[in-house]
Amino acid sequence: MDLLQQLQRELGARSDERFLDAALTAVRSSARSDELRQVASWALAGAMQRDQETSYGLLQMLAGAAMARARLLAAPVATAVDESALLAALTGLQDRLDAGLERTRALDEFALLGAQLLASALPRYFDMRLRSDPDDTVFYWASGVLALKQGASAAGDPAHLL
Amino acid sequence: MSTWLDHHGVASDRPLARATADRIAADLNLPLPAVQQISAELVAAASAQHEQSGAAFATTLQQLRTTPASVRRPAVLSQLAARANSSEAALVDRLRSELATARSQIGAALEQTPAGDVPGINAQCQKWSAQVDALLVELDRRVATELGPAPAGADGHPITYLPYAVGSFGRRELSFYSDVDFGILIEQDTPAVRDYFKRYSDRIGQLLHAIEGDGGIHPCPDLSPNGLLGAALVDTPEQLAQRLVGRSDDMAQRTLRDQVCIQSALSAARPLATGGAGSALYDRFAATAERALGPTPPQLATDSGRRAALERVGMGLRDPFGVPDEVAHWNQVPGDGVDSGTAARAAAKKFVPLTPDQALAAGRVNIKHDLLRAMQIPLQALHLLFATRSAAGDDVLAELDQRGLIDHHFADKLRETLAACLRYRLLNDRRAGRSEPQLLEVTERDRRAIRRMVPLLYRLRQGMQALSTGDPNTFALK
Repeated sequence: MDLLQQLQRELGARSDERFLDAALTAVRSSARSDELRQVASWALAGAMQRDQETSYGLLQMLAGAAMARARLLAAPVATAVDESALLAALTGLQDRLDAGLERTRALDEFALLGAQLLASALPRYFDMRLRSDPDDTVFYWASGVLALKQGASAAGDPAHLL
Repeated sequence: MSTWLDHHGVASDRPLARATADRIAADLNLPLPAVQQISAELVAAASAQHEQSGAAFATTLQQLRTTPASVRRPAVLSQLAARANSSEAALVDRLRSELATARSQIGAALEQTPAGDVPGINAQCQKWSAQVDALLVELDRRVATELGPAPAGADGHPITYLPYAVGSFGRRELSFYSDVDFGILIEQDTPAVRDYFKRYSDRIGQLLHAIEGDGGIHPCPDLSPNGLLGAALVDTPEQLAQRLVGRSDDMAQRTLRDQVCIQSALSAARPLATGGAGSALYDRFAATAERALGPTPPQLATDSGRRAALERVGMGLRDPFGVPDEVAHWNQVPGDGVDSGTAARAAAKKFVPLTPDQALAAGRVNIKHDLLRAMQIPLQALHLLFATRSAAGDDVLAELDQRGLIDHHFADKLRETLAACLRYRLLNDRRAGRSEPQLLEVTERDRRAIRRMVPLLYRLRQGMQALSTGDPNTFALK
């Protein structure tokens, strides 16, 4: 069974947070960029169907985490990132989303920013510095990356193996 | 000219004490032992660094001057004995001892109180509140005697004033190290009155410090920037009412929690001493506040009602807004009477997370029960987090920060969002027909704030789990 099928089966079978625990562990274990992109697309679509539920945020987090790791596996990214520049880039992406940028395309564009977030040393609650209005999409994606990173850190994984 | 005062060691920089002692020697013609007693007392008064004792003593002596010579000496000695019993040092010793005894008894009772027994905890809080009530009433009497009557008002008579309690003190929910929110209602506001109560406040502060040292009972620092009662806490009834009403008006969108807190603060404000002319001041305050804010809801008319309402808005003993502030204080190292380590462990057990049923009941407005379920562990972690922050201060905060678990930005967001969550709970209560004071509608902003919290709480849980598996003692309360 591939990763996507596994996650599809577990969504709803566990509490949302347990699901995300398992999903992030699976994302961390996967070394296949294409598989992770599939997971990201599926999670994004699932989130949009559940936009009034808690699982909305957790699925968006999964989408961001999976997409960032997929991008990191595909090609190296800079590990020295300026916090302000990254914040500005994420905010800019959110602005464009608000202006009508299609979500799947925005997630594609997020991939590089997320990979940088994953690979660089930034404050753990970096995403709290992201603005929240009028839509939180990029915030969730960034939070997912940080959750992936936080879990890896707790597990003792060096950042470069993420 | 050298007087007997110099020979008896009364500090020469205490002019009032000197003058009083000189009058004793000149007017009363007492035998040496009596003079020595008086001298010793004046030395004690001088060493306590307040001249007012000398002033009060002079008044006593003035009365004695009118006493027939045949009874003067026994009368003086009797007065001296009485005075010795009520001298400041004796008063401080006695009050300190009473507080230590009460702390010990209440602390022991708290240790025996089962985890989650909120009424049991409250009962101990009420006992401690009563102890502090008595302390402040006694200090008020003492200071009023020292300072003499308050300045005259427009009618030529000394104005009346009334010490009052507010906040958790007003609700009789003090823990050992709670801020003691009390102030003074004054009949009229004039510069002379302000000056009088500045001296009054300083003196109360001095005595509290003498009794409690740096720890223990202290007036609310938020309301009294100098650590003592400040000018801000001396109000006419109208000024006090306006202050509380103003707090609510300042808020662009008053939340339910704010509203209940304000109403509760108003209705929990209570006189520290009942009866007498001061009671009229309280009535004036209550009437003014009620005109501005509307009548106090019946649910808030009693201590138990206020407590229940505050619990619902997150200010109760089981909530992160209320628990750490109240219960964490039990964790601080007390001066005496309580084993702080044992008390800390006992207090830690008293954090009661929402039950699954409560969480489910809370989540029916657009915030799905899963969110509250997801929040179970974080809520417990938050209880600990906030308690730890209150109890151990900067070092623990620094440790949390270093471990990437929290920063101030996060904490602020957390409070804001939890407040929004509580509003959901309250709205749900109303929809379920449970009685509640006035309620506000939940805004889209609230919904976003709550949704936004999901990832953060998830990661907070991650962090807490990592800590607990890595080093189980990291969060042991100090």
